[in-house]
Amino acid sequence: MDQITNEQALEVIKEMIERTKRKQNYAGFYHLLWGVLISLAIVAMYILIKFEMYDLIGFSWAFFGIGGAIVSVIYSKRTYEKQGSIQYPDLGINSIWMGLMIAMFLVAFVFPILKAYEWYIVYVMVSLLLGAANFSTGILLKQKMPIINGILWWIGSIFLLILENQVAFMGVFVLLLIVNNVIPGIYLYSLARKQNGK
Amino acid sequence: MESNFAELDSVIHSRVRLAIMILLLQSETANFTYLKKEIDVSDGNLSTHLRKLEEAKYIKMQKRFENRKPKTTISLTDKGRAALNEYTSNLEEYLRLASDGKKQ
Repeated sequence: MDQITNEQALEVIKEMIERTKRKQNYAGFYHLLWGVLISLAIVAMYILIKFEMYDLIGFSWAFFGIGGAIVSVIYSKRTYEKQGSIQYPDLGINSIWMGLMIAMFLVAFVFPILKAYEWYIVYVMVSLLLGAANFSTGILLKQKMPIINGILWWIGSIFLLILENQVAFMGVFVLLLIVNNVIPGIYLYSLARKQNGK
Repeated sequence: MESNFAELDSVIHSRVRLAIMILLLQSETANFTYLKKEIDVSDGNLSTHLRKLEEAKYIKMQKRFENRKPKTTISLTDKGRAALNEYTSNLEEYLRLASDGKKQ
C-alpha cells in the first residue's frame, strides 16, 4: 500500500536530508555560557586579588566551571526533549564543549593547585582551549565566524604570553572573550532562530 | 527486471519507513513526536511502520514513562544502517540503469 517507485524513493531521501540540513540547532549557547562564566571568574579573581585571598582563586574557577557543567547537562537534556532528536553535529558540538569543561577544570583548578605554572598561564591555556572549541564548532557548523574566532583565540594566546603589564594583559583577555565568544554566541543565536523560523 | 539485480529491500522500500530510516541515519536518537512531525503521519500509521522496522531489527525502540507520559526513543541499529547502505546502493544502480536505458 505504501510502496513507492524508485524515483519517489530518491525524492524521499532528498527531502528528508534537506529537512534536517536546513536546520541549525546550535544557538550559540556554549559560547555565551562560557563568555559569561569566564567573565564572572575574572571579576571574582579581581576581588580575591584585591583582598589578597590568592589561595581562593583556583576555587573560584572550579566553582564557575562546575556550575557551567551542571547548566550544560541540564541544557543539553532540555534541548533534546524540545527538538526530539539528537543530530550528529549537535552531538559533536556538545562533546567538544563538555570536553572543554573537563580540560578547563584541570587547567584552571587542578594544575595551579599543583603549582604547575603561574596564574597568568591559566589565561593562555584557557585561550588555547577556547580557540580549539570555537574552531571545531565552526568546522561542524560549516560557519566561518567561529573558525576565525578560534584562530583569533590562538593568536591572542601568543599576545598574552608576551604582555607584561597586568592591566593590558587582562584587557586583551576580556577583549578576546567579547570578540570571540560573546559576539559569535549572539550571532549563532540569531542565525539558529532565523533558520528555524522563529 | 534482470535477475542479476539485487531486489530493493521491501522493509525499507516504503515512503514512511524510508523517511524514518533516513531521519534516524542523521541522528543518534529521535523520539516519536519528532518523527511524526517531520514525516507528517498519524500516530497509528507511524507506530505500524516503526513496528515493521523493529521486527526486522533495523531500529531499536526504548519506551519509558516521564511524568506519567509515555516517551519512545528510537535509534538505528547496525543491522539497519547496513541495510540502508545496501538499499541506497541498489537504488542508485537501478536509477543509473534506468537513465542509461532512456538515453539509448
